[in-house]
Amino acid sequence: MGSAFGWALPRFSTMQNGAAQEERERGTPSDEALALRVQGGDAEAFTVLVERYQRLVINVAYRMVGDSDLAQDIAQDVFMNVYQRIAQFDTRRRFYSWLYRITVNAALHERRRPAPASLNELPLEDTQPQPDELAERAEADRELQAALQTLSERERTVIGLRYGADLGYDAIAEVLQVPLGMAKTWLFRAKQRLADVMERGAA
Amino acid sequence: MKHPSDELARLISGDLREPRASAVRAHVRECAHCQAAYDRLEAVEVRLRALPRLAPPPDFMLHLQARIAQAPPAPVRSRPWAPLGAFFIGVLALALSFGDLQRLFNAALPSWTDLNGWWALLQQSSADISVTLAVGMCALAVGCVLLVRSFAVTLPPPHASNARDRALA
Repeated sequence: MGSAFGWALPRFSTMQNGAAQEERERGTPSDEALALRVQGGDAEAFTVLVERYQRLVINVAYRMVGDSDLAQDIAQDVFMNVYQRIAQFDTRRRFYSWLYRITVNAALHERRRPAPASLNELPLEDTQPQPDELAERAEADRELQAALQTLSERERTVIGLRYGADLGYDAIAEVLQVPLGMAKTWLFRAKQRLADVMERGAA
Repeated sequence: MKHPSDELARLISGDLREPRASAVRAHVRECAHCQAAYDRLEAVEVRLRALPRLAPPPDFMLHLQARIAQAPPAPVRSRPWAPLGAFFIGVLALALSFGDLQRLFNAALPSWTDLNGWWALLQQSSADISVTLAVGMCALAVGCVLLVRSFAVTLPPPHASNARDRALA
């Protein structure tokens, strides 16, 4: 692997503020404008916000708790919470930051309760591979999820935001209300810990 | 160059900017320690990105709407301390300007049709109103507005105007 290193490095796209940001930039109403409308009683605006963020919230929670059924329940609770507390949201601030903070808190709260870990039956977005590939991949995913669950709450949180919601470092720092450098350090340490755990598992 | 350990993850994910990215790449090529660390982190990055993305179930929104319909939101007071604080300041300022108030209330009122009399009274009152009294009246007015706003924020159930929910019902 080392010899392959060089200009052929895998170049993952730099993630900024996630898929929701891209949607906003396509001329659709901003999250904050929608939140303002929800505060005024606009039910359709709430539906648009849910549809815009439901996938991202589920995937953040999934990476934090390791169980897709539980992730779905958490997402339900998150949007319920958003609806009930929307009057408290300051529309001068970023909606996604508020939403993901609620998500992180809900996932951490759920994770502290004992729950059976299982990889489950929620539909996947990817195209379905062949049965043997599927089994192999499911095993790899199970290993990774098990490794994720050994991380600290803080480490699982940054991994969830980064890979569940495609947030960049600056957005993660904003959600967690920490300096940018701290967010970078937490993510780096989380990956290092994950590498350690996976190596120990493979040995 | 020191081992740029904490920058390797950002290099792999494409978040390290040039010219620093080139410098770190060059270092990694020549440093066995960093090459090994790079390979470990790259393997983690690949696996994290390969983790399946879950799609929400089709009935996610309907289920949410049903839950919301069962538990309508309570009215929210956004900043309960704000109207209370404004009222407190208002009452304090009015108490301090008690003499001004007495003068205002003791003034003889003109008849309803005497516009000149009302204008003269307004001018006289303006001259009598002290800064403290003006602050007190403004604070009371602000307190009233905030109090009304804090109780006015209530939301109807979001399913009320949703066609899918009506169909479900």
